Amino acid sequence: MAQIDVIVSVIPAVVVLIPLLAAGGAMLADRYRPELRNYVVLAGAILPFLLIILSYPTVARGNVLYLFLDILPPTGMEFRVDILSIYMALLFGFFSVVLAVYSLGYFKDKEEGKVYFYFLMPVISGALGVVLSGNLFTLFLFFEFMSLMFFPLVAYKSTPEAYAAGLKFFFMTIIAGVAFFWAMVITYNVAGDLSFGQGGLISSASPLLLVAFICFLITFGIKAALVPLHFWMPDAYSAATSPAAALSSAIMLKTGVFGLIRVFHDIYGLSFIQEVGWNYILLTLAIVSIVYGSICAFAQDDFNRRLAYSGIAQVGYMLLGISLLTSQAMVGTVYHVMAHAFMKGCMFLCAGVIYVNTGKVKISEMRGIGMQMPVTMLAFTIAAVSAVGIPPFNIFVSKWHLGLGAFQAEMPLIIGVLLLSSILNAAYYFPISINAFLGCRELKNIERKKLRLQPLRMVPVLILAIGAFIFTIAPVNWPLSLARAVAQMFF
Amino acid sequence: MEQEVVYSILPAIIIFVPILSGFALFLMPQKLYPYKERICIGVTGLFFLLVLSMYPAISEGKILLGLFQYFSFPLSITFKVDAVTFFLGVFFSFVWFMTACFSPGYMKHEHKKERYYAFFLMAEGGCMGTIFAGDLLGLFVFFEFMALTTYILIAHEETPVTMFAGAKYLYMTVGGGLAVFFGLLTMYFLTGTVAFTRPGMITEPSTLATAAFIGFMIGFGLKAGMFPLHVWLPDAHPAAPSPVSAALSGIMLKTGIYGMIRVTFNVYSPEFIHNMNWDTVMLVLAAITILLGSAMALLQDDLKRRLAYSSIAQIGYIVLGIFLLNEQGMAGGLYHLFTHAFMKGLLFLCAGAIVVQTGMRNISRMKGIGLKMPFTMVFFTIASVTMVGIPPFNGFISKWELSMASLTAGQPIFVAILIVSSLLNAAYYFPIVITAFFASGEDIDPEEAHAAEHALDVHDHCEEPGDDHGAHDAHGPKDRKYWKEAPWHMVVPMGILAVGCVIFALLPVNWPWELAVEAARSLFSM
Repeated sequence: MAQIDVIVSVIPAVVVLIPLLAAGGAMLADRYRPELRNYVVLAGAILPFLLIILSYPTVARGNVLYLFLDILPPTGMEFRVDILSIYMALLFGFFSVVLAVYSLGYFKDKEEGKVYFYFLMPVISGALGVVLSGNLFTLFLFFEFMSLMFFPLVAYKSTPEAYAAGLKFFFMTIIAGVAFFWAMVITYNVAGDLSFGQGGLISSASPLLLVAFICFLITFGIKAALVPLHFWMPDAYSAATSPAAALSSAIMLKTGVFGLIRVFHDIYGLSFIQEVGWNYILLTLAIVSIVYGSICAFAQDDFNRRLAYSGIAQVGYMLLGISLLTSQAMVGTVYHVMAHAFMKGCMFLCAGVIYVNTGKVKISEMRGIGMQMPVTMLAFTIAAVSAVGIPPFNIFVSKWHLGLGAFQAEMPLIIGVLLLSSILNAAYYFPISINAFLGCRELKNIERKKLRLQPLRMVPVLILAIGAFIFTIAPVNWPLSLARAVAQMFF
Repeated sequence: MEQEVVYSILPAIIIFVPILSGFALFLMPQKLYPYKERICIGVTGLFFLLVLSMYPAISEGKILLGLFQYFSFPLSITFKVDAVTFFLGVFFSFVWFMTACFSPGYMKHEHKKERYYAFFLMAEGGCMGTIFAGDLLGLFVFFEFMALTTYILIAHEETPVTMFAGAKYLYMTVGGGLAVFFGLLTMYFLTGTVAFTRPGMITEPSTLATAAFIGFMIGFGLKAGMFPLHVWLPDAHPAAPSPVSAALSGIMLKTGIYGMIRVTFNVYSPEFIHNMNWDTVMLVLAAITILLGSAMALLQDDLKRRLAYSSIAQIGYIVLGIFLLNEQGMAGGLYHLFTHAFMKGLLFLCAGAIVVQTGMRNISRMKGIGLKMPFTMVFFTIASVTMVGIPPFNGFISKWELSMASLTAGQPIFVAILIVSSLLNAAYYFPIVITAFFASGEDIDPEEAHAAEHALDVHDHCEEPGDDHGAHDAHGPKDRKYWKEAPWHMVVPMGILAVGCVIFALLPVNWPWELAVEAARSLFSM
């Protein structure tokens, strides 16, 4: 690979810092100048996004932004922005803006919305920190920070269920933290370094390293809801508010995927993993996730729970792509990170709109809801069709590349898993859309009057629905070219 | 023979005429409804003329290539018009036009008409896009688009029976789409392209090549309604509104056939398929499809179900023609494709007229209907005679060619199957005609008939709950004395299709036949 120019820049640190300051600012504003609170929150989401956009051209030219802060021994705090980081950061920045706007709409005129924002912004900060970090230690720091800040959002509704789900999430986070710590210690002991961007730090296998590998899998697997570590997720999603679930689905899950990419390619290194074949552990678990998540999603009547199980399956795709260790599969994974964020984000926001406007959370109660809120359900339908992987939509592209990756890895049977999951996707998403619009001609007890919806709630939904196909029908598929650049960096 | 390739703007934009007008109709306010009807008819007519306007170039043996590349999913898609495409495009768009003209009369008492017309146009766009696409990815994209938009049309009436039929269609078709996706992916992996080349890119026998072929055949065979993937079809056709059934059976099934043709000739090559013995498998399936469809049709009392099973049988003819893998069989198959589009379209429109005018669908109760609705039943008779293959109707020509091709291919058994199937065709169509014209209906006790209607008619057009008499009257079975001929705007489209079933065989130059032969030649040349 050509020489990479390293440019020292404070932008990554500033990007991480702004949402944190915004959280503090929101607290102060709520106390002294309540009318300014919304602007502070918006600024806290928009400014980092703008900074990321500004630094995009530099990174896209093949440079790396770098910042080393000599605090926190032994390794120090390091930021390093390569093409994968900027891709994820752009995605996270965009979704934090969308979710901040949506949350403002969701909690409009509600007193209990206040505290939500004090935790939303730190989670965003942590997620941005994870993807911009330059060594494993910094990643650990932000990862834990993000997880701990998300806990109040899970338990937010203060019902017993929410409390139980929050506690479950909290303990899983602690387990993840401990496992991460252990893995990091072992790695540091063997390699003497934790920084990224060197194409692998480890050259020879040892049982201790396998332990570390498994610990990494546990850490990031919990975050990415890898079966059998998924069980916090359906509870958390059904207990949490919809914007929080969307936040977790669109942003937090992806940090788990991102962490595993870093572990595979920057800590262990491609050739090492290929040699020892540990990727088959992840491969097996990913397949189990896909099948298990898809099948379980059927049985759910709670909207958020169905989306959560479907999320388990979808993250399975990404982990599958990582573990196949081929360039096409990596393109598929990286693209799917974006595709899934748009698809599932849109669905969760729809669920939120339905909940705040009608109070319905059960799918069986949603017959004929398309009469009341046609635009919302249309957006949901777009996301559902996208999930099945039907052509003009994003997930078609990720499935296409994952399939090619499976061929490259000479495991064509994997495609069977993808196809099975696709048809299951259709089978559990389409009925929601169908029942919302059709077949309710003679039902007597449904509302048919259209609801007036809040623009602040609807605009994000529509933006995400449009995002499900706008890149693929544009003349150049921009995220796909970025994903290809990422794959090129690693392979 | 090298064909001249011309870049042209028309193929590139033509598909977007119906699709974009469909979206526009969907977004237009409801109070503009009367205009939507006319826009729908106008756009389908315009589309037909646009396709027709490509004839001069095609008749000179050129291939028209779309000027632009569209989209970027993982790859761009293009549009292309060659002899095969044009042959299918021109007749299909004509049948779409006729069904659109027929729709207002049929839909008069239906609900959500504006949705119907919007999706009608989108489905047309998807269907035509499937045919006009210049590569397999484009074909797949529009294939899926058509499949999903058609679902809305099938489930239009929203009764539980309809919803069930629609769901069956939807999930099977999604599965079929995934099978095609697998084939497409495998093709791209093996060859690095999804373009239609001649001969096809896949020339090496391998497990993947076989798997891809199976994937393609599952996907396209399912859409075409080929045994054993036909199970959605007998439910979906009767459930849909009649103009949609006409389009579905007359046209959309053929996109599956078209996919098979492209796979046979442009992904693989006929020689390769013959060497792998895949043609034998497909021929056997085609034979089963023919016999099963015909036999099942005999058993149906619901007119539209009988027509649906008959479609299955007819699809078998076309598949047979394709997989005989000789030029004559191809020409016969293509010609039958055209024939079937016209006659089955006509039959379903007739069935629709009967449903609207009398509110019933059971063949056993159609006694004497020919005297009340003379035009409709005369057209029905013409289509039936075409179907059986009596000269000089179109069906005769295609059966003749298919038989000749079977003999050329050294497979006389298929001639026997064709003859048996023709006999069965006669056995299930002529009784309808005879009942309609010659049986007297006066001896039925009206009360008893009404009871029988409720007992038998699970698939009835618009079955409302028992307490809802107000809505029932609009669409329920009408008393015999109120039966009358359909209005002129329904009769005329039927009449035009009926003329189409006869006229070409009587003219000195059989234009569709020339086109079919030309298309078959272009497939086998190079």
